[in-house]
Amino acid sequence: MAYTTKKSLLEAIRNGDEVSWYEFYETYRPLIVVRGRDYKLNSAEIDELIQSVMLRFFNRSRSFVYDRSQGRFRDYLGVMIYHCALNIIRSRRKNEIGCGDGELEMPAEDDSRWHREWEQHILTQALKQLQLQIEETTFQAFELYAVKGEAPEKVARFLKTSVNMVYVAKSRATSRLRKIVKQLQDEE
Amino acid sequence: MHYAIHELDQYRSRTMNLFRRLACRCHLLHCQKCRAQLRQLEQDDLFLAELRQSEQRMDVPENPSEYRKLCGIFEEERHKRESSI
Ligand SMILES: [Zn+2]
Repeated sequence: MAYTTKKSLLEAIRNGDEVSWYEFYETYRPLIVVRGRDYKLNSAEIDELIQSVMLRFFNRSRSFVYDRSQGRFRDYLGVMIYHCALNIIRSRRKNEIGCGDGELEMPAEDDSRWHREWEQHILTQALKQLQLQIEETTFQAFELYAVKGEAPEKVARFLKTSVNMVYVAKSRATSRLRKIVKQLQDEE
Repeated sequence: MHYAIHELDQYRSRTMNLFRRLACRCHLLHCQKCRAQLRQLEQDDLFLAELRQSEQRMDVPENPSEYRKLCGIFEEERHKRESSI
């Protein structure tokens, strides 16, 4: 099932719906990569991190149902990524001469960093949902002007519309985007 | 008569010509509604700056080999399940 206008993946997870591995991968891969970079993993280790998070969630089955007794999904995912990264670093350290098997040293602000990254992830997901919810031209005007920073006159010429419409598109789309973000936050 | 959103956005982004800009500034001095609208636009810009930052942060290159590897793992399991039924 594609989680489009009616339901977000996060809502499906929270509701305990069956979630496909591909949908999960598409949605959370960037967040896992960013997290891997936080843990100073190299690119091969980041691949390994993605794979091990996926396997832990899906246990080789093509779909999973989230157990809500595990608490808030954001926290569960954060801990899961942390443990997978820890395993990768431990196995690397074993192969390095003179390195003991220590805990992963994380800066004190790691928790707040994770929450910030989660919010950033929510924003990017909201943008994807926005695209499905508004007219194509309005979205293009919004994306080119408000997200990519193109001049409104240039956007208007490209979309064969008026400059005013570009400004209006920005305002309307921003307001809708805020609502989607709020909805995603409430769904947690 | 109040200013439209696009006009206030032009005022903010200084793309309004000087004469209209001065007129708009005078209007804003005594119009609470347009001032509130202008504040909303300022809030929007902060929100959009955060969005741009998020887009940049989460823009990670695709990795087809990693994807194929995962497809392989999940397909293999599907075959195992189907053959065991
Ligand atoms: Zn006014």
